[in-house]
Amino acid sequence: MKTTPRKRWDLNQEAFDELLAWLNPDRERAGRKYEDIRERLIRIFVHRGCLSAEDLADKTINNVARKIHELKAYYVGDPMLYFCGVARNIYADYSKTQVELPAITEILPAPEPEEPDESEADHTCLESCLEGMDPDDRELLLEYYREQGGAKIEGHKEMARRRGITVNALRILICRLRASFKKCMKQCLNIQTN
Amino acid sequence: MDLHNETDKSIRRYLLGELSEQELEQVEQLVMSDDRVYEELLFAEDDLIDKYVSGTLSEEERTKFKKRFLVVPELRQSLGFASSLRKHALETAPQVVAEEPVTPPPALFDRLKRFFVQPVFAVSFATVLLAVLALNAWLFRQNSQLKRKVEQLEAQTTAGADDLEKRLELARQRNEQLTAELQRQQQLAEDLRKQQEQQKPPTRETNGSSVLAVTLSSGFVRDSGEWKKFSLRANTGEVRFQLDVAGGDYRGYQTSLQTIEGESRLSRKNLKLGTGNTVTFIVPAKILNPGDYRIVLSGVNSSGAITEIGSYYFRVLH
Repeated sequence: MKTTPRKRWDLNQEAFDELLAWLNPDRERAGRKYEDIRERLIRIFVHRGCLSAEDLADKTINNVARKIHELKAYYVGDPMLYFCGVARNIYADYSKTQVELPAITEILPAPEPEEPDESEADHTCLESCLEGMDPDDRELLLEYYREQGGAKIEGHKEMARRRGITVNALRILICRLRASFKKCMKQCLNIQTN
Repeated sequence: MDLHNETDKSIRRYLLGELSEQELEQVEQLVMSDDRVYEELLFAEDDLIDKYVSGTLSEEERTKFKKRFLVVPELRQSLGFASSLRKHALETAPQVVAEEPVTPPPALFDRLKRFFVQPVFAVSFATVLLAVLALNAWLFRQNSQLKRKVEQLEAQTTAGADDLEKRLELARQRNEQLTAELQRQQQLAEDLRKQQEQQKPPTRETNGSSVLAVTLSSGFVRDSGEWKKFSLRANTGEVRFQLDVAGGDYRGYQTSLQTIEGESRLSRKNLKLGTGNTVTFIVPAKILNPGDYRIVLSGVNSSGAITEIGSYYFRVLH
């Protein structure tokens, strides 16, 4: 798996390689670890309410990579927790830049957020991404979303029973299919807007 | 389990922005270092979005959800995807046909009855029934005819066998009659031949000389006047006497030619009985001068004893 630095990567390749080696001696596994760390950091920034979670995640990784040479010499423990600590500092800096904004909302009451409308691009990408899925996976995902209201739980139990799996296994399966679908949608929409 | 449940609750509160800074940091550390918690975060995030889309969140949860998920672009996008996906799923859902009230299936007899009372099926059934009846009648007739034919053939076969036996019996009887007739005819032919020979001695040519055949019967006595008489031609070489043998069981025979005065002219031994119970005695013609002769026939039994069994008289004419 070829792993390249994300945007705002302003460090040299040597530092990046050293970061990967720190995550795992095997470069392939190190690459997957890198992607995993980035996804988790994004979730953390997202649920902190950050508007540019991906940028903040990349900034966190850059900061760690910048210090990687020294870090390797003195840090003992789970690297994931180190990333978490750096992310907290990054968020602290970020939150300082957002401090002045709420003052405006105190003057003008914030409008009720509107639900996202489905654009033409959304619809095209939806069709495209569903079409690209394995037919069985597609039907499973759509069936999962068809269940609604009070019958949803029983419906999901029935789906799991028909496939000979537990409800939890079905949940994991749906989660992965949904993640794959989201990834496809993001890529598709990037292409559509660019 | 309790720890997990506690974590799950914490994650849900985390997603809705209900945690204190300290709790937030703890959850974030777990999200980074614990795979299960991270996965649970993803599940809970999707679940919350699904519940919002399907309208199953409480009012309080819905308000908190909006403040976070409709503002942050990443979450807003996820909400948009889920909303589109759900909309598409419902649009493409298979049509559910309203089910009719379930009534117990009618009994077999009722179903058959209902089937046959329909006019189109009643007419069809009647037609088929008539066709079947006609077919049965035809088959019955054919069967009866075949039975009669078989009986006739059996009777003919029995009669034929009897007739054959009768014909065989008749043929056998006819054969016996013919055999008897043949024997009778043969006997007649033999008798005729003997009479002819008696009346006219036969002769036949042998190597330029003729052979005279003379049949003599025993009992022709000297004084009876019934002597066999014949003449000898110049070319007669020999006379072949056929001596009738009246009976007896002998292994061989002897003959002796004598003049009537008792002078022996020729004797022969080891003669055998020939066809027609005759013994053949050949005599050279040169020793037979005109005159009366007697042939004495003797039989030799199994013990070698010789018994005179007959005398045969004849006269050689000039």
